[in-house]
Amino acid sequence: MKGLGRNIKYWFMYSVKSFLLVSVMMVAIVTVTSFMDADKLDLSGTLVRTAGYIAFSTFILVMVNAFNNISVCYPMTVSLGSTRMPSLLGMTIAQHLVTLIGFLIAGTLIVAAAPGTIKDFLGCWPILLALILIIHALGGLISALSAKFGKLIGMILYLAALIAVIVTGVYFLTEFILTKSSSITILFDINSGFYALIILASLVLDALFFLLLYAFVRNKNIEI
Amino acid sequence: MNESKLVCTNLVKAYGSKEVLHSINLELERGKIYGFIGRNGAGKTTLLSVASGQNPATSGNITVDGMPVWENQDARDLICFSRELSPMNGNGANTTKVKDYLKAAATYMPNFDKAYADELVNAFGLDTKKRISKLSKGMMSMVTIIVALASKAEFTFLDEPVAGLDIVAREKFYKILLDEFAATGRTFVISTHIIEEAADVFEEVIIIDQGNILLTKNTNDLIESVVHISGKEEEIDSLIADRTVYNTEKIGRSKGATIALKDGEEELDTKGYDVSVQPMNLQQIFVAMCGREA
Repeated sequence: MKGLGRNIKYWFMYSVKSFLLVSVMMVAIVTVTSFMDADKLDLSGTLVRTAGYIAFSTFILVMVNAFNNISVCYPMTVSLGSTRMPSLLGMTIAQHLVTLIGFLIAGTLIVAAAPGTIKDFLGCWPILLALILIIHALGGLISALSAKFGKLIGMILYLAALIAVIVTGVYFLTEFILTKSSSITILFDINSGFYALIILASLVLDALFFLLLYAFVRNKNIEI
Repeated sequence: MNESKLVCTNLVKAYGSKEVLHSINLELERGKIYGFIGRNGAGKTTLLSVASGQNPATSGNITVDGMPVWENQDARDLICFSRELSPMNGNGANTTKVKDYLKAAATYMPNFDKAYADELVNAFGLDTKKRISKLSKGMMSMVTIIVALASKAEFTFLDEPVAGLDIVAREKFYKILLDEFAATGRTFVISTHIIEEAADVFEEVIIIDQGNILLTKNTNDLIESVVHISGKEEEIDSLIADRTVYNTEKIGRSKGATIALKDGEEELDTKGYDVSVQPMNLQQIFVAMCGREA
């Protein structure tokens, strides 16, 4: 597809820049709070906390970008000469990659803090992949509805998604990091066929909302 | 290369039920500077955005070098429509930095000349570290000019490029534009409201009014073919009876009219009439055509 390369280049640079900005902010927060909890938190605790914040900010970034990209960056790319589909594809590919990088960094920090967890991480990669796809499906839905119904709806959806992420994401992350409760570890015991089904379903959902977004912006006038 | 053309055929654009461009037929040839003039809301920006493939047409065709423009990257790479920037965007203040905007332009425009863009940044004295929302109207115009010129696109559209620029910057822009035109022979389409100042730059002029192209003509030919006559009403009515009349105005018992000379007619034959004939400049012709005073 002509023009996809330049779109991946632009969107990847833009997504990495956003990710770095948020990550630096999160690391700064951890640094400050670590000083405040200096008597209770050791190095591994700080790494785990940093990992938690980075994973969380990766979630948030997908939602923020879902709203922001479609109303600000996408029209700019079209006005500068891109056609519509390559721009949306470039945006999607770059965002998926950056989310994956975010989770990998968070995972690396956790493994560094507790080397014994590496086996768990290697075992749960299909869940992680499905999770990334589902997050992006949610982001795609927000983008599509913002593009169709305007930024007010986009903002409401963004806030709703934010609350959902805070409630569920933080709960499960805390469960996993601190207690390794059965509600999480049971996921590692399911068979590979079921994993494949989960990934496929997540992929279909992600692709579906991407196509919905394309359908909404395909013939829409851009404004910058 | 010289056969390169951008062609709009029966182009219609509607926003909902409101049609803003009515069956436009337009042909832009390579190697010309077109002045695109029309009143506010006439459809200039809409036509440029549709002709450049940024926005979809409701019906009709746009082609460049025979290729359809809509969602065709090869065709879009030949056209640059540097849009007027806004301090606000879809999400509030436009916080994009000028240098990031120029970098994005360099990524998307295959022939973008970065060295030339830097040269223009220096020529206009633009601070590229500033955010677009913090720029004055004139500085935003400079950014759109730099993107348009550095794009090196064969067909380059500029929408109100001199809006907000002071007279020194405007003179600088016209000079840079003519230098670039002389060096490359690119096609420029420039919409502007400051008509008289730019008239010497335009080889051809396109006048649009209420979504219709009124005319596309060589600027000098147009100026030479339109005159204003004034005198007694009966005499004016008699003189204009079989002519194209763009506008008339009445002042007491006198009447004035803006008319087109007939093909091959070098000057108006007023023998036997006591009327005054005055040449017109481009701005006066435009006002006569689109002022709707008659």
